Amino acid sequence: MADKLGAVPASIVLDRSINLKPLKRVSVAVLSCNRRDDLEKTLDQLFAKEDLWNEVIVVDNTSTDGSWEMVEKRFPDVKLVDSGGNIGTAGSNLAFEAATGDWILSLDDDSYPVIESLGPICEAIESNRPEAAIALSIRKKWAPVVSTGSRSQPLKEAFGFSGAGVLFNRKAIGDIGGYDQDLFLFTNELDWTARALGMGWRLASCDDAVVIHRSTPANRSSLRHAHYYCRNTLVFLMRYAPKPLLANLLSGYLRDIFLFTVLHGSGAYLRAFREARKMLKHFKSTPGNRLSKEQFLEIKPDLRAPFSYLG
Amino acid sequence: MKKPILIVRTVSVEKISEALDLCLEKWPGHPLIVATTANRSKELANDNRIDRLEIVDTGPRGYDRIFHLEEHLEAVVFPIGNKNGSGYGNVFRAFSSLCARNFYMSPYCRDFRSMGRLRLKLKYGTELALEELLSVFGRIWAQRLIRGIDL
Repeated sequence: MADKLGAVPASIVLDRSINLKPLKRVSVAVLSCNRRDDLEKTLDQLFAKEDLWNEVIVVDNTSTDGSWEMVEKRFPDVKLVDSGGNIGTAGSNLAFEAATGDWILSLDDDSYPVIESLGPICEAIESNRPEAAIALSIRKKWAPVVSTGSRSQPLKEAFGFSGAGVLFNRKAIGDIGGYDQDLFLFTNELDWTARALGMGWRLASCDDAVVIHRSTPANRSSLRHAHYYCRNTLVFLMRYAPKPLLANLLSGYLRDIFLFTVLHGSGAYLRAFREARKMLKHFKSTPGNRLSKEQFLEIKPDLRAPFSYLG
Repeated sequence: MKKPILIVRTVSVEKISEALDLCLEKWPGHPLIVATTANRSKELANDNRIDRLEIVDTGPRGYDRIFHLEEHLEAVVFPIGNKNGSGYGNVFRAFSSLCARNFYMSPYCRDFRSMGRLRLKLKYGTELALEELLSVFGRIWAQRLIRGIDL
């Protein structure tokens, strides 16, 4: 069997000499729902070094598996927030409200940062970068961590991020707001990106600052994924797609809704379509909301992705 | 010299890694060629399991231009992100005219499902015809939706 090193997209630059002090300006926000063991691993990683963060906030989307008790018992320094029901990704908004740091590192319950790779992030914090958010590089658990002495890459302009590993500028959150709670799951990052760009904010990404995302299969129902992803992508197109591209994008996307309904023999996409229409009933389009053609092409949402969960 | 295996890159770099391991297990000693787009070829450039990268010209929907290669291949492998390859019609069509002993889907990059050229053609033919037909409904509904919002 060939060595798996060959498949690693890029090595992770580890630097044990970095100044981690800027992380004291960071509040960590972890959104969790019924993944107690994963949450425990994530918190173990976050607290592996003492006194690193401004604070760690865990928003519990009403778990029933003892996550809350586990955090209370094992991690007394964590600020626990009860969302009062499973409100999806909007649960992160509660952490954004509770956060006191200048920056907020958003994580999933099954993702954690590789501390020794956060040098560029520390530099960005120290220099008070003006971006609304800095996307970290998300890797799978098995990707080998390779220590090298090479210098890290600078931040570059980005047009998207994953909520499993992103550093938000708290000022930007104040300005733009949190995730849209109507979306529940999926495309919340796309929606936030579109709003940020519309308000003149910019985003950055850092390839060398790494978050390991275990992508635990627990609580990942294919049907639920297909439904929300399909519905929210249609809502995204209607809200933000540039006027000259809208008709083409919509007709292609709707064709795919019909096509995959037949190919997958599932009514999930048609239900999603119906629900999206309900959500858009009172939607008023304003030219300022729409992305420019250039911005849309940079964001480049994958319009086939919602159809990859069934079939 | 054993005939090469051509793997069509349609999945993430992590998934293609699993597909490469599967191919090495099934066809030991056969050279591995990966067909990929130019902008995603860098991710695979240092993979020591790959003997050659073939850069494929793509259109607005990815692999929608017919890909030609003179070489005789042992197999063409399509790693796919679902069970039956639905939604990959354009990809199957783009690589169906290659001179290969057999064609395989690799659902979730876990195993292989042999297809045969005829089945491959039938599969993408049906899907693309259906797509063509349903695009009419797509256009009608798009107009209806757009009419409902003030642009």
